[in-house]
Amino acid sequence: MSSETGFDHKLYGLFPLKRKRPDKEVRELERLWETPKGWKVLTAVNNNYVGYWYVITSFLFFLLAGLLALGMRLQLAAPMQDFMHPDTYNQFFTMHGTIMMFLFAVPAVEAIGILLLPQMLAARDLPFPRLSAYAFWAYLIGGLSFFASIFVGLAPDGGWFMYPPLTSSAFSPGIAADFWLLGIGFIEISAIAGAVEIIVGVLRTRAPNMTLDRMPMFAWAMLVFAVMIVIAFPAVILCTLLLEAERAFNWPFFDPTRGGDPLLWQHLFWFFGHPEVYIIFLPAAGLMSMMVATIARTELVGYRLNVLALVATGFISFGVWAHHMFATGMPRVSAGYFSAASMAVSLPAGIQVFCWIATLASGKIRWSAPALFVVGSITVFVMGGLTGVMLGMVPFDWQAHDTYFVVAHLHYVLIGGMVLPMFAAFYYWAPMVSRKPLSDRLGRWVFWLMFGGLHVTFLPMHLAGLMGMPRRVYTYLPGRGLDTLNLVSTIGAFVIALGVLLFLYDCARNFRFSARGPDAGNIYGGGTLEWLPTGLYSTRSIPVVHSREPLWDNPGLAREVEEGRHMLPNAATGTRETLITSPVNAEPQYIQLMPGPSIWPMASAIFTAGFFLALTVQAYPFAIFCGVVTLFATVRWLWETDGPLPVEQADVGAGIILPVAITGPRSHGWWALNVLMTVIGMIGFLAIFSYLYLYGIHPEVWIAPPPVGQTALIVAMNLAVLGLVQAGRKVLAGRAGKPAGNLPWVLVMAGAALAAYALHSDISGWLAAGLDPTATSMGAIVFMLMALQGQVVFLSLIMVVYLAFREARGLLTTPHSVTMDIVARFTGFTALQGVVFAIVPRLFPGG
Amino acid sequence: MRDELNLHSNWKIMVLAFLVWAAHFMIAYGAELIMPGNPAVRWIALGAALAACALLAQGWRRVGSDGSPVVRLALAIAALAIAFQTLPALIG
Repeated sequence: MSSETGFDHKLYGLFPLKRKRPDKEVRELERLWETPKGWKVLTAVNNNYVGYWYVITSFLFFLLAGLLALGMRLQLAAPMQDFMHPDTYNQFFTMHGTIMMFLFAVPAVEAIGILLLPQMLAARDLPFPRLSAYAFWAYLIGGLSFFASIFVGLAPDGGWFMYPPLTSSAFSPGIAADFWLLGIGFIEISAIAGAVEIIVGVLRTRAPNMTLDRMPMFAWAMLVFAVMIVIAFPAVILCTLLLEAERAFNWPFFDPTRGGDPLLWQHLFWFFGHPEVYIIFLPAAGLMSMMVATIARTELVGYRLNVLALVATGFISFGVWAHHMFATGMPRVSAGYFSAASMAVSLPAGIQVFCWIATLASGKIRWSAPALFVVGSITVFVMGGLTGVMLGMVPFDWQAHDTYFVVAHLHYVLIGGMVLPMFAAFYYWAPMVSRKPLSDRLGRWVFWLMFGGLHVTFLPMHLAGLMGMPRRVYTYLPGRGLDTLNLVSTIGAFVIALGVLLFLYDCARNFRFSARGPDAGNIYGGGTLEWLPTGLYSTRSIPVVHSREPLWDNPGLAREVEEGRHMLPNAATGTRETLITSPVNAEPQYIQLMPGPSIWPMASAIFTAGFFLALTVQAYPFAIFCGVVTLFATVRWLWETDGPLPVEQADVGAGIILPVAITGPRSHGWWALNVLMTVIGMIGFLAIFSYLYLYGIHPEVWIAPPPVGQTALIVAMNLAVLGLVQAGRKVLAGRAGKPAGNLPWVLVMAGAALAAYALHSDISGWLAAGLDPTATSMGAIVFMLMALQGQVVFLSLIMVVYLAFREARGLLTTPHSVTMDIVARFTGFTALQGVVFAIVPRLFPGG
Repeated sequence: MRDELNLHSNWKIMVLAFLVWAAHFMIAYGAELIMPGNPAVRWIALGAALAACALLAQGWRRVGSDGSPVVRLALAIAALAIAFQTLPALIG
């Protein structure tokens, strides 16, 4: 294999080292990675704690959403019941869908990722532990606040996809819809933060020599999952922003009388919403691939085919969004494209299923609770997939659209594709974090209750749907053949609930969380690295990997790792650290210093939640206060990072010397910023799509743009920003061995200020041209582009002030500084976005 | 191990195959969105399909006769999805 970074692969031959390393190194690791005691445990940031809390919280939301489902099923158990008021029923189905999709499904898989990935990759932790902590606290606080709205009668009631005009101010007055829009927007920030962490973690913190071809399937799945989040979630952030702007400021994006179009919401929402299904399914598929191999006690059949299937699904799932819109009167050819893509996406899903079946068939299955859940989920998922192909056909969809047939289909897909694999994972990986495993006997009962219950619940719904029962109705008339079907569904729902209750009993009886070991261990005989003995610092030393199932191929690996005979057996820099490796071949590149426990990520999350809540209830002064405190807390959390280094280089074992913390394209910070800029860029790209879409629908409301000369000036100013930030970096690079001085940050600050002035000119130009954001959809979307640009300009300004403060405190390192690297590149991105936003609206003139 | 995913040529062609599919989808759907009902839309979709298939064929040649079967499968899935997706333009 050729080297990716110049690292000599022969050096891997030095490991395992001949001699055991001294035990005092373990004690040093324990000291450095110790978690504060008492209430201060809440300041913990390492994945053992944050991942565990995350899993528990997501499961709590699963239970809460399940309770809402039981309420709905009671209401529908017999015709014309008055168990709950129709308005309450509307709130229940809206909250059930929203919580399951936004507060359970995505966070649950992210949570499992945060808990398992560092151990699976043999990293000390994911690369940004404080970001993980922030994501968790934002999710917990935002989620609970959102759920609490149901107790005060403020829960949204427009369905989990909140279509306008039903959710516009005219038809949904009050703040319930705002709760949904701002709450979900906020929670998505948490999901994106998690995605950044996962992408960089999977690509840059793998154990040495764990090439892409040896990566655990779950890591592959999480990589595709996180990339999909980065592409898809900006769509929901943008559409919630547009609808909130329409509700709060009367900007008519979705009002056809002023040039808007309600279907724009549907396009944006489903551009997120359908990939979301695969976002939920793929990580579960990754878990399944790993469990299937262990259950069948053989290697996964078609590892590379599985990877291909994950990547193919990731791509094709972005071409299916409008199959949710077949009934809106789309042009026939367009409907055909989406129908074709909807069927094509079943090809890669089929590849995965056949690989699992082939693995089970070629091995010797050891039946256990996880094995039952795995086989059950394959069955249920295939059944859901088949009705999905039926719904992908336009004429069938016209008949079944918005009926209980769709409800049955989506529950089969989501329960088979995510819920059952997750329960399998609970049973399979619980021994990794608990002193006792969960009971296999109870687990089998849980499985049969859930598996039986879901068929009793959802199979009759296919029939009810085909008989014409629409979804989202709080009752139905007797004598239409629906009574028995609904009663059976209700009974089934309670059988599922019984299974979940039994699972809770099993957890209460057997699960005993053990973050620092000892745990119940590898009782199912898995072959991947998460089954190595670990402490809070993950594995004692980081093993050199030679195969996909290292524990099967080298039964002595656990002992070698425990004796410190692999890489980084100690705290080489005297602080928390992990090894950063190259993205493809996982060649060791440098040591990253890791931040320790901190209250600031939690404080930042609390006040971010306060900011969004205050906006919802229109308490603007309090929102500003929360925004300022959030900024302060975030700056404090970052302040302790990127300081002067304790050592420039360190020995990671066998005399291999690596640098400590680097900047530029080889650094993990560079990758994280790229991911963040992709997210912001996607929001911008989709805003441009919205502009073109509205232009295509209502060109009659378009006016002539500002003069060309003014546009050229805006573009020139933004290009000058690029020059200034580049100059700032060059000056800093020339200060090797000397203090940074003022010039570098002054140049970058001048750039950010110029970007702000360019934006001001842009806004002034459109106002002078007579554009009013409340008058037409053109005004609304152009000013939304300006608002988005305003956000990045504001962030750039904050960042340069931070840069200046760091220089004043002597914390700006030379010749390279991670802070300078990030601030300069982000300001450059701001300028480039400014150029695009200035040019595109002027290319499609009206009037 | 000609099949290894960490070979640059392998994963690049694999990702490119699906990018070609995505580009074809965007061109075909974008044309229909901008000019609904216009006969030119069908020709655009067909032309884009031919161009996409030519690119995929180029990828197939680059993989070579002893190349990775998985990469070939990626090219085949992309080609099949493109062919399937062109049908609405021809008979829709």
